[in-house]
Amino acid sequence: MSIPSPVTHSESSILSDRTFFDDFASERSWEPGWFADFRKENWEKACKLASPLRDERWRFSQKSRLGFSKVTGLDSSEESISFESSDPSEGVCLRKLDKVILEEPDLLGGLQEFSGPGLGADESFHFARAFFEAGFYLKTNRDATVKEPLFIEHNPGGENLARFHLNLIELEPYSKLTLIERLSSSVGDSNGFFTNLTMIKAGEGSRIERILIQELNSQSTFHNLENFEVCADAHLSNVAVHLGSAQTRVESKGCLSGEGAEFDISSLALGRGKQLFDQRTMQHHLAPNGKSSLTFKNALLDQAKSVFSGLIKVENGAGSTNAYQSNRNLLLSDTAKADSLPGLEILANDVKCSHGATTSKIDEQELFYLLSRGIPRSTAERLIVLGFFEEVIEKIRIKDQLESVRESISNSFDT
Amino acid sequence: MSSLNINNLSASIEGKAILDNLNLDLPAGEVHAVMGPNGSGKSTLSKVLAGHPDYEVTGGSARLEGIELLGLSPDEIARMGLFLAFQYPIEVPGISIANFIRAALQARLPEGESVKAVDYYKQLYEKMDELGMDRTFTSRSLNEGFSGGEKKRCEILQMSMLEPRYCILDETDSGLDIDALREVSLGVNRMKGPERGMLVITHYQRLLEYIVPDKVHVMWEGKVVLSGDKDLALELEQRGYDWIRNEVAA
Repeated sequence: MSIPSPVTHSESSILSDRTFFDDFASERSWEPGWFADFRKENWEKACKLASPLRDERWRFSQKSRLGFSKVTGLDSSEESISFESSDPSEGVCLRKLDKVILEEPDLLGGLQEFSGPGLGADESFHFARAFFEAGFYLKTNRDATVKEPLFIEHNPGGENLARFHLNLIELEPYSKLTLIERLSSSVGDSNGFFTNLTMIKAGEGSRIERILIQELNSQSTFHNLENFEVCADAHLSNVAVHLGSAQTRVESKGCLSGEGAEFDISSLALGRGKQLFDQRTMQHHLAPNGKSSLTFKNALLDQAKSVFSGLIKVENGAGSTNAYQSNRNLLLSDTAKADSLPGLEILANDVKCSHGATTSKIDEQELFYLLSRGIPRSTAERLIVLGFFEEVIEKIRIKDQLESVRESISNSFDT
Repeated sequence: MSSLNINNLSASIEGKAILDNLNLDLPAGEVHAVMGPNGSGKSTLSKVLAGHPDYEVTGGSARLEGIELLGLSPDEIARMGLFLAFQYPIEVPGISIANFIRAALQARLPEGESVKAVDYYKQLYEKMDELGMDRTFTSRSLNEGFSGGEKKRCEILQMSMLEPRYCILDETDSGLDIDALREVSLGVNRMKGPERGMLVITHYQRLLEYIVPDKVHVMWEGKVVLSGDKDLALELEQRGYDWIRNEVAA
């Protein structure tokens, strides 16, 4: 009697083809040996991954939409990342990753230590580490305060092409930084696959505000994988705005590794058509007196879908933790759908943790109130959605960025 | 003559009849009060005229300057010039008062034109000063966390910015202390004019000491059963609504 296999293999992708990988590796034979090993090791891991039929980490998602089976090659454009200046201010070093690989590969020595968010998208994580060709490296010196925000643009593209960006951000103790990343497709209607793997280490007493604005084209598949480490007394704030893509998988993990660390993460996503936003988060408290706060808001029109799964995990020894998690979903059509899986795992005493998830339709009384002032229904819905998102938008403390986000949200109702 | 004509209006909610062949004429330039006990259908009348989707119109008509309102969407009715000041203004998180009123004004402009920010704020601040509202209100979320008095002032502010032809004030006096009542009434009185009709719905005569009506209508079980001049309000106050009950029964 044969026993049915408990695993299936995802549809094969050219990325798992040995010849394809070998060709890629041989083109990059100029890289240091440890680099080649790193790529190969990750490629093998990606290829060996089994996907269990029931994987909690993909619950309620549409995993098949987020795979790489349609990829026909890599987008190797040199223009996929850009910023104004490589040494934007004293005490800060900003480099394109391809330059670093070529000129100062030793800066990337810490690469292996960084793990991914590990919340389910292992395939794209390992592919990113195997195939990355671009991204950025950003480091602040101890005590450096970067007064002006840094802007970085990601412009992946190419029909059926995959692009992997790897971004390393390290803040030395007591440095301060504001970072704005904008993601938009280089080609208007190409079916591109973009994976953005970011690792941020906020050293002791440092402070970083990061804003990520995603306006990829409506055909794109996007994986946004983030791993944040927040050291003692450091403060990391991350605001994400997701307006584009056909399907997006977000994995954000914050590790509060030092005493008194603060981690504040918020996100808004506006879904239209058949857009999918699949969001997995973890607030991982490893040290005492940490504070984390998460606010994820999704507004969904048409047949858009969101999945939020978030875990607050408080390890034994992380006493006096204060952790908060909130997921709010607003449905603007009967065919939109939101699933929410909040979770708590607490192994320490004396902690304050709360979480809440709500999914609701537009409030008819609110709508009537707006209509009764002569505001047409479409404008009223737009105002209600903007109002719903305001809690996240107002965390963007750079005025022109805040206005442009409001405008982008508003404009996306016109198309 | 310009007017708001309500003829044999009947309406129900969830199958329960509330308005029953109600008749009322409000000519432009006049202020009429509608009084009546709780449950007589006063608030229903205001909501039906404003096009609230929960109510079903089962008969009759309501014409604004000769044009039928019933069956139009609430935003169309508002743009035709009818304004309803809510008894319980709705809290809308995340939308500032300034943006809200601006969107309402914008909706009244022809396509391609837009509200000019400088003129808009000048006018908004003037009206706020008149109503004794702090300017920080403009950036606050609409009605969110407002006191009863603040909410009602905000309604009058919207009304004065939008300059409707016909105003319905639904129990604007409820929840107001005497100072707020005076300020709100002054705001309403400033809007009186030969071109504008006002329907003041109230349970108590108190409001009518500040906003003096040209006519008073008394509602009972979904219809207007008695109309008179402003003295009718005083009489009602003295004799109570039981008096109407007996009149209707007689």
